[in-house]
Order: sequence, then structure tokens, then C-alpha cells
Amino acid sequence: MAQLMHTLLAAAVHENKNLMQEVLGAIDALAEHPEAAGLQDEIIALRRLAKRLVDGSLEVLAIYNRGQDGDGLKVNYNTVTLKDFMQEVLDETVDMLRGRALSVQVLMDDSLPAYWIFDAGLVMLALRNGIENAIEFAQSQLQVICSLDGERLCISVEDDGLYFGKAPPEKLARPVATGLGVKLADKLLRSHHDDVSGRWGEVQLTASTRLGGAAFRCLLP
Amino acid sequence: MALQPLTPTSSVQTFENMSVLMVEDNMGMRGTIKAMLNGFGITKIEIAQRAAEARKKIATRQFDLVLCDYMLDMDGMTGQELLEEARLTKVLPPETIFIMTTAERVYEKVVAAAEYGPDDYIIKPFSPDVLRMRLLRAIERKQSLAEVNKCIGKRDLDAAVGACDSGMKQNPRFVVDYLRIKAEVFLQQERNDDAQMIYEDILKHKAVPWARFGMAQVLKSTEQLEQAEAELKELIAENPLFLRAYDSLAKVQREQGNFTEAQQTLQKAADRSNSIARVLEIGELAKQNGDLVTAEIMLTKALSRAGISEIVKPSHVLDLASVKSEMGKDEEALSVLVQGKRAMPGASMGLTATVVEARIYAEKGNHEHARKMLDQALEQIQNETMSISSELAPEVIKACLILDHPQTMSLAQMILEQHSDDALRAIIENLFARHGKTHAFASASEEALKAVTQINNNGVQAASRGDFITAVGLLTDAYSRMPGNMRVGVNLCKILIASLEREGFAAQYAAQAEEILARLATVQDTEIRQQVQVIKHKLNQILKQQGQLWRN
Repeated sequence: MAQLMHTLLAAAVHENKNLMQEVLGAIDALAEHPEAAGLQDEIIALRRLAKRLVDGSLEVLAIYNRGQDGDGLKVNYNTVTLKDFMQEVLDETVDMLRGRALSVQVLMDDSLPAYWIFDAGLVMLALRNGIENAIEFAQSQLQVICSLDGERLCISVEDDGLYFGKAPPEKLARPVATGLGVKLADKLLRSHHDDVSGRWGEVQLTASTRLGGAAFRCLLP
Repeated sequence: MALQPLTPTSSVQTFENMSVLMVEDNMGMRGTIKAMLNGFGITKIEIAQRAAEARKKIATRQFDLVLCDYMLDMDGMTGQELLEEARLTKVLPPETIFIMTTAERVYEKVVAAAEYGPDDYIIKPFSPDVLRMRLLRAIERKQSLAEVNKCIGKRDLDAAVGACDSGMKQNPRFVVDYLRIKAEVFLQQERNDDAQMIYEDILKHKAVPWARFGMAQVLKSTEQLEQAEAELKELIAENPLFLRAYDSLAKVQREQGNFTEAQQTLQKAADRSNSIARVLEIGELAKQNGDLVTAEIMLTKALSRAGISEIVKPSHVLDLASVKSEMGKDEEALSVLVQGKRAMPGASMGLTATVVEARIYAEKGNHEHARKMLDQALEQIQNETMSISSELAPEVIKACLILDHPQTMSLAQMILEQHSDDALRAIIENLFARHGKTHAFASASEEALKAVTQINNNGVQAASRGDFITAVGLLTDAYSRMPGNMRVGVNLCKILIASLEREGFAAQYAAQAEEILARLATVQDTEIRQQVQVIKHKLNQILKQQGQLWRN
């Protein structure tokens, strides 16, 4: 019964994703229309929301599909060139920031090894979550830093948003690792395990010492 | 530790001069992508809605970019199969960038393990910026790997290794690509220890599928077939979409003589992908295994692409016709031949069709027509100095024996001279025996052996006199006339090596030996294989002394 429920939910998410893809296509077509010239900012914002819905659905479907492979989340480990991966993170973030008065910087520790072994698809899904959150709360800038934290790889998404982890003022207080997105991202990272060191992957949401806002730290064994 | 900033991929570059083939069956998507491409300044856009149409377009002109949907025809071919076939038949030039678009995240797994992967893939939906970034990345990657691919294309494998090493330093963005290629080049060069080091370095961290696959190739290459089989089976169990692993496992199983298991393995892969090369291989294996029903299904499926796909050859038409014949479906067999001739006009298909037709009519008792056909075929063989393939040989001998053709003996002798394949010899011997002509076979076989031995002896005698030029000349001539005769090939190699050892290094002889050894690499005969290994080892030592390495 539970399995049937999962399948039904996945089917519904799939249908929603397809519909939203059509909406995205319609938004793109609309953006080309001469009468939409004065509405470009609104269209960009609308597009971003629609794309988040599609990406969110894809995340859920990816997890569902992987769960089908066996018990639990199946991780496709592969050798990932860090420079290439971080370049993709940068380019995607620049794309997401279009139309917003925010800047992004991707920094890499020059002593990192050339590649790391992880599931690039899953980690990218987790990172997108962090980046979207950072975009929501940042005042003027974001940084994504790729470095080593002990023997784990750390990709940290940091922002200069206000009030991270602080209580007042009530309306502006930011959640500390209670969001569903963060939990999902943490689950994706925790599916990574190194048999030799016994270490796991995880997401840590802490205060950013660099920018003063939040730091969404993806740690990979 | 010092933090270095990355620079965003430039968004100002345009691609005005690019020619693009878009393969997409969804009308809405076609419009969206076309608008994106137009936005980049690309106007030279051709569209194909189905795989067959795309295949034709790719074969007739060169594109800078192919943008292909993964789920092409719901009942036919995927974009990945189209790509595999285009790369396998070399109709897709290495310079063309192939990007797959897909709404299926499962494609990540397919692409990670594909032998013929695209330059990149994009998950739908994607924005113009994402497409632009991926395109720029693909161009950069193509340019970065161009030197390595050029060296591999020229079969200069040492230079390819060097290009990988310098590429890793100059373009760290593609370090894993270089590493994978380098290990594969090592495998081709039989530098198994070097390849193993690369794979083990990865595997000590995690069981990354491509490294596990590489380790299995090392095991296979070092004749540890049982271990290779176990490794590949485990890899498949954990990565059921790793189609290369099925192909490799089937090869290992064939080498071990487990043909039925090999067929089963390939069938499992075919359930996941309709690759035409794989379908053909299953058909051939099934025929060999006596599983005529499967052979008929698979070969019929493959032959529906005859004349469209370069992979389908006249020998496959012959296979299907003989399977149909064996099943008592002579009329269908004849119709297969007619279709084959129509789809693949040419001397080779013509000869095949004539021979098989002669055999079928001979078996049906229409000797007059059969004789006419057979004479026509024999005349073609003589006039056009065509050699008889090992697949066609049993057919022509069968027809000759039924019709009691006067040229039966000379033809059998010629075939036995041209092919040193023991399995073929046994088939022909069996055919003669069935017609009560065991003695005739023995005599043809003896004559063939005498002729080949004579050539070999002449060569060896010349070599022992120290006249290597004459020895090499004699056997080179013989080998060019009977390329299917592995014993002549082995002897020629031995003489080439002896000359290199005693007369000093000659690049031409070394290259000739290498080429022959590469052709003999797939030989099943254990004795020949052992001899090939010994010769290879000697040649490697000679090349090393010259500061060179095995290029093939």
C-alpha cells in the first residue's frame, strides 16, 4: 500500500513537472512578445518561480527513481573534476541571479585535489537548495567556497543576509535548519559514505564568518 | 591554502557560423530550442523529427552541433542509440559536438557508462543561458581533447599519452577525461600495469563504475578471465544500465567458450537498448548456438536497417537467409536475398545472394537453375578475384557437393588455403562426409596443406639463409592472398621479428608485424594465441630498445 502511495505521488509530481514545463515554455514565448517589453522584470521573476517548481519536482523524482533501484537512495559515485563542477555552480548561479542586484563569487582552494568522488547530480540538487536560500536572504552578495574541512570536501554557500540564527525581529528571523529543503539536501549528502574513513556527508547550516549571513555547508567524505 | 576565484563563462560569445541539426519529435520543444538558437545568432538549423531522418542527415553532411532528444521514437530508437550507431559507423565526424537533451534523469546513468557518450547532456527544461553555457563548455572540452583524439586517430598512442599528461596540466577542468583516456590508451598498448595503477588509485576511494570496468579490462587482458567475469557481473548487478559491461562480459564468456551465457548476457543488454550492433551480435550468437528462433528474430530486426545502417553487412543477409533455410523457410530465405540485394547493391552482396540462391535451389532439387547460379558465382570469384568469406564458404561447398560440380575440389582447396580456421575446416569436412566424400576432403585438405607448407618452407629457408628480404616478400605475398590464414600470418611475424633481431631495426618491418599481430588479437585458437603472445613480447622488447612503444 505504501509503495502504491509512493508511486501515485511520484506520478502526480511527474504530471505537475510536465505541466510546469509547458508553463515555462509559455513564459518564454510571452517574453518574446513586443507587448511584454515593459514587463521583463516581472517575467524574469515569474520564470524563476516556475523553474524552481520544475527543479523541485525533478529533485523529488530523482530521489524517487533512485529509491526504485533498491532499498534506499542509490548513489551514483563518479569521479568529478572539481574545477568543472564549481564552474557549473558559478554559471548556474549567475543564471539564477539574472535580474537581481546580487553578485556571486565562487572561490576554490588552490591546494584541492583535481577530482573528488561523489554523485554530482545529487550534490548539485543539494547545492541548488542552498543557493536558492542564499539568494532569498542575501543583501548584496553570495560566495560559494570549495575547500577542505579536515578530510572532507566542503562546498559552502554563504550570504550576507541579516538575522541568521537570531530571534528578533520576529518577521525577519531566518530559520535554522528547519526548512524542508535543507533536510532534503542533508538527506542527499548523508547518502554519501566513505567505507575506509567511516565518514558520511552532511549539510551544516551555520553562521557565515566571511559574509555575516548564513553558511550552507555541504560536506562530502 | 589560497582561495582562487573562478570567472563566469562568457555570455557574450555568439555562434553565428555554427550549423546545427536539431533532432526533436516534440513540436513545442522544437520551437523553443529554435528560438534559443536564433537568439545566439545561429540560423543554419536543420530539423529531424525521427531517428531515421536524423541518421540520413548526419550521413550526408557535416554539422558543427547535433542537439538531440534522448526519447526520440517511443517505439524505435533513443538518441543514445542514434549516437552509438553514428559513432560506430564513423558517419559522425569527431569534430561534431553532440549534445543530448532529456527530461529523464535516468539518462545520467546511461551516459556515465556509455562507450559512445555525447559531449554533454542537458536536463529539460533548460533556459537559453544553460544551453549557451553547456555549448561553450562542450566547445572548450572538444578543443582541449582535440590533440589527444588526433593522436589516437593517427594511432600514435605514445603521443596520445603525452597529450593527456600535458592536457591535465593545461586544462585541469577536464582532468578526469584525460585520466580515463590515458588509462584506455594504456590498455590498448597492453601496458596493463600502468592502466591498473590509474584504476586502483580511484578504486581505493570508491567503486566508481568506469574504474571498475577498466579493472575488468585489465583482468581480461591478462587472461584472468574468471576474475574479469566476476567483476563484470558484480558491476552489472550494481549498475544495470552499464551497457558496455554487458558487451564486455559477453566477450569474456565467448572467450571461455560459454556461448549460450554470452547470448543471454547480450539479450539482457538488448532489453535495455536497441543498439543495432548488439542485436546483430545476438543474432549471430543465437545462430551459432542453434537457437534459430532467436536468430531469426534478431537478424530480421537488424536487417530492417540494411542499406540505412553501415553496420549491417551482406554477411548478415547471408546469416538470416541460412537461418530461414534451416527452419525450412526457403521462400522467405530467397526473399531475404532479394531484399538484401536491393538494399545493398554491390559485388559482395551479389555474390552472397547468388551462392545462397544456388544452394537453396540445389537442395530443393532444381539443379538446372542451381547450376546456372553456381557457375555465375564461380565466374565472379575468378574474374573479380574475390575471396570467399568464412561465412560464405560452407554455402558454396554445400551447393558444389549437391550438384557434384567439377570445381568442388579446387574450390575446397582454395578455401582451406585461405582460411586456417579449425571450426570452418570441421564444417567443410562434415559437409564432404555427409556426401560420402571423406577421402575427397582429405585429399583437398592435404593439397591445401602442401601449398601452404610450401610457401612457409620457402620463406623459412630464405630466412635461414639470412635472405630476409626474399622470406618477407614470399610470405607477405602469400598473406595478402590468404589473409584468413592465421598460420601464414604468424610465420610472417616470426620472420619479421627474426629480421629485426638479426639485421637490425627497420621501422617498416616493425609496423608490419604490429599490424598483423593486431589482426590476430581476436583469434580464438589457443595455440595461435600463445604464439601471438610470445611474438608480441619479443616485438615489445625490440620496440623498447628503440625507445618506442607498442602503437596498436
